[in-house]
Amino acid sequence: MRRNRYLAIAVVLALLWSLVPIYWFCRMALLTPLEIQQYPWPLFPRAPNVASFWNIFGYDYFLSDGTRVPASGQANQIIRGLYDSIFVSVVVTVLTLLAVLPLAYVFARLEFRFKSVLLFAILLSVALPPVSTLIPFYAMYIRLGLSGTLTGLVIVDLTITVPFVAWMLIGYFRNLPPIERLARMDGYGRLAAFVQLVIPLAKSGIAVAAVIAFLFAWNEYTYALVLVNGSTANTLPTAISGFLFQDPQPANLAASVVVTIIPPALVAYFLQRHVGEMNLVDPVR
Amino acid sequence: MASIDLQGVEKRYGAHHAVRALDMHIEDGEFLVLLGPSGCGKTTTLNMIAGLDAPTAGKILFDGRDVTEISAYRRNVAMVFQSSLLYPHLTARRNIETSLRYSTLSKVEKQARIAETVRMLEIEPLLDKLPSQMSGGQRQRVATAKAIVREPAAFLLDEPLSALDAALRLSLRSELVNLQKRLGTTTVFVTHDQIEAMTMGDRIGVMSGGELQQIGTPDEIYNSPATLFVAGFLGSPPMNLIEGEIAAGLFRSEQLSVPVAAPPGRATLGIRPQDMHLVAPDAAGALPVTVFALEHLGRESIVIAEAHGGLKVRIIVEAGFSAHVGERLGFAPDPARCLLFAQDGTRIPMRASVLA
Amino acid sequence: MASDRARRELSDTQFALAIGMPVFVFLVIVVAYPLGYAIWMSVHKIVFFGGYRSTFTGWANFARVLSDPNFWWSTWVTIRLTFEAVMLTMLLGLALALMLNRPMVGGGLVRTVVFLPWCVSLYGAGLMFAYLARGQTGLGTSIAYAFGSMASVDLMTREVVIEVLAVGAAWTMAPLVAFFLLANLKTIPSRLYDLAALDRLSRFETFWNVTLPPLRYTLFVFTSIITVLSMKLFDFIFVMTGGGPGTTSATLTYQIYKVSFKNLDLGYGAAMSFYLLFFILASTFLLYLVWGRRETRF
Ligand SMILES: Nc1ncnc2c1ncn2[C@@H]1O[C@H](COP(=O)(O)OP(=O)(O)OP(=O)(O)O)[C@@H](O)[C@H]1O
Ligand SMILES: [Mg+2]
Repeated sequence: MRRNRYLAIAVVLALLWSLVPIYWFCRMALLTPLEIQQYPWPLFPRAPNVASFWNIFGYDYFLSDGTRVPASGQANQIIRGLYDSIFVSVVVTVLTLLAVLPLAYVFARLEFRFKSVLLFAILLSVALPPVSTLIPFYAMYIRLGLSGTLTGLVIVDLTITVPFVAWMLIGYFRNLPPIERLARMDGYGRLAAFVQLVIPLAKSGIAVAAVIAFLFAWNEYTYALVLVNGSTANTLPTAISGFLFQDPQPANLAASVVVTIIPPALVAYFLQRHVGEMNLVDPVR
Repeated sequence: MASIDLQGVEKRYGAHHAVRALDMHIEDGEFLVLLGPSGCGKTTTLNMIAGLDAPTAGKILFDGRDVTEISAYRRNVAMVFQSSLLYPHLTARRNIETSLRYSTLSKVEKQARIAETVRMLEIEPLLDKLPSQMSGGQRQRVATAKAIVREPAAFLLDEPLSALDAALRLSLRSELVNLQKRLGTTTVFVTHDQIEAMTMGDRIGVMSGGELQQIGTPDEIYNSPATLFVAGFLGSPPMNLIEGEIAAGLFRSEQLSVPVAAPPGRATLGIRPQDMHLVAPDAAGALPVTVFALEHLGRESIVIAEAHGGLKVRIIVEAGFSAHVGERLGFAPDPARCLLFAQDGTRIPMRASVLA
Repeated sequence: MASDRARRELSDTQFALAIGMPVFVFLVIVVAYPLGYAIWMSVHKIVFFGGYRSTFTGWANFARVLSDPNFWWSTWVTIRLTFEAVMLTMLLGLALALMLNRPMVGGGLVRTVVFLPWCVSLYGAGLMFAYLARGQTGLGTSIAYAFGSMASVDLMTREVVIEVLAVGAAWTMAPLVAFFLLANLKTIPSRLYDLAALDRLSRFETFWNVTLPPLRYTLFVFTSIITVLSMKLFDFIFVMTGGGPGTTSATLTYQIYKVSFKNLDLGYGAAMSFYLLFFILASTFLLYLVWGRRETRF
């Protein structure tokens, strides 16, 4: 009984810890323009309204007392950013999986020369701070005509997702049972065994890998800011920063941040249901 | 069905010899057991026969045809892996079906084959279960079904029973032998359990340290082991091995003396526990010992006794025998049943024995 | 026979080359070029004003970094922040994982909520924590007001701003750790706990002898990962504090940003980057030496 009470307290604390910052922004998004002028902002909005969620997508909103809350000037940027973010994230997720699955598989299950050197090279690229590679990428992109394009953003995201996800999947693949031997007895070629047997076997680990790649691409800010900002190819995070610099509107800022959390939150819900099936421990020996 | 030949097969991992210079002939339709302690190269040998590992040197022939370079599948062998490996994400049915995935049989024929195998192994109720939902014995059965459904030329089994409990092992043992005899498929069965080897094999190949020590029928292996290793490895309780010296037609070790017909020199005398008998402690030529422990097995008893220099010998006596620990006794081996081994572990052939 | 030979299976190395190499080559090009470019910059003096010029200066940039008080200040800030963020993240991650491993009503919902901060970008989290901690808009002030106090509670001060950053970083990273630890906890057979109960182990002994051993290697791996991530942390600081107040929270990443993008001293920024890279590699190597080497894998 007492143990249950401790657990309950722990759960409440954990929920508070996880939710308070998110609540803070949800609340901010729901405040009326009038409340925003107060000091300090109330803990709970007295007349919650969804005006800012309309405004950021370019619609006026009328409060119950008839006040018009005008559409945000950043709306075009936000809508554009939403499309581009979805595009970039999906493409990066798919390409990351296409690239990482063979790579991680090869490193986890096969013995070949220079393996440890190559593995170290992958680790090294995980350690590179983006702030250091920004300018080289910028210079390279100017030369290749990739700056300000979604292609450029996809490529630069891949340089981070591929090594990071590969690093995680290597440990996962290594712990799978040696079914390739069985597959060879059954007449599968190496590639067929990998595609038709290993991948289906590893699906929960691959799902986690996909989620990690998606979250990264969805949330990436630094590269997007430097490499594509100001062009037509801007992602959601850079579009949002407009509320900070060009057009400061706390409620709209909060609303747009809340919007960015929704797709990954759906993903997180899906992910937690699979947590029991995968043991993605240990990357590198 | 096929006969299998290994000619000078060798497998090296770096500087480590897992298998060295292996020559072996396996008859068509034979049940051959490969027996040896852990790490002696049994699995490696089996993998090379299967085509999963390429030998570093030597040739492998099926029915006289060189298959060394041919892939596992095209050798048409089937294998049951150590601890009955199956695809964990596929049901029993799909596991069995994948064995026929690349076969040229028609759909109907495939289904007929599967149905027959399922009936033979009585795994009907398991078909829609995943391996993780089966018991060890059930998994083993499904793995066997997966192997035989292809009607392979040879059947390779790597310790398929080692993960099971004693009772199940006993029943599956006879089941497997029965199945093999019905199908008449050449079979290589790897184990480190000598009882399994003795009861199942038409012939047994004993391996140690990557080398084939002896290959022969269970009777040959048991009664005339070719090397000291084979003599000591088979039999329970194990053979007594006593070091001594041959001179003038007598093997001597302290007070023990046994007439032998072998050239003089240092040698090891091997005698099975059931081939010694009790005499007075000071009888001429007998081995004086003190009783160390007595094990009653019901049908018979084993006396474990200590001889000179702490050497333990085991003697089987009839069930009624009694003695107290520390009692002095004498044991005399039956000279006709003694085996002699030279310093290098090889057997010294006895010429017509001189019996006293 | 000839066709049999042709059908011989690929060796491990051949297969590895065939399916792994294209990706690897892409990675090398796309990582090696910027790395090479950064090396080139670090040994040049690059001037924008009055026309772009670059002059070879050898080790000068690297030497200059070492006598720069800003660099040493930022190094200290980075160490402090990394240490705090890593400790907080790992402890929180472990606590959350242990809690989530208990059977409870509505477990799926609790798990989703606990993993939620992981979905918030570092950029978004930076904004949230900035608003939460600032006196003007913060939680502290609102609560104080609700209790009738007029005090403005500002946490973005010289004294505690780094701690606030560490808490925010732990908020976003702890779910990642918790997720993998939880996956690991699920593999511990419940028989082991029955055994521990039979042996009358205390709760702490059970934790120490049953729960912890299979987690230790994962804990090591994630301590390394979180260390690397904390040292690389940039967006979060950029959005939340902008290195301030003053230079209180100017980590090395922020310092590099300032040198490269505000002062446009590209060569100098690149040189500083290599010091940071060196620190990152050195600290993971150190972790491996004092901890990872002794952990066996399960
Ligand atoms: N891939 C490998 N690399 C290096 N050495 C190996 C490899 N596979 C096997 N060995 C070594 O070769 C020797 C023989 O191994 P093998 O697996 O054939 O033993 P085994 O007789 O099947 O033993 P067990 O009864 O334990 O299964 C062992 O000493 C082992 O360490
Ligand atoms: Mg073996």
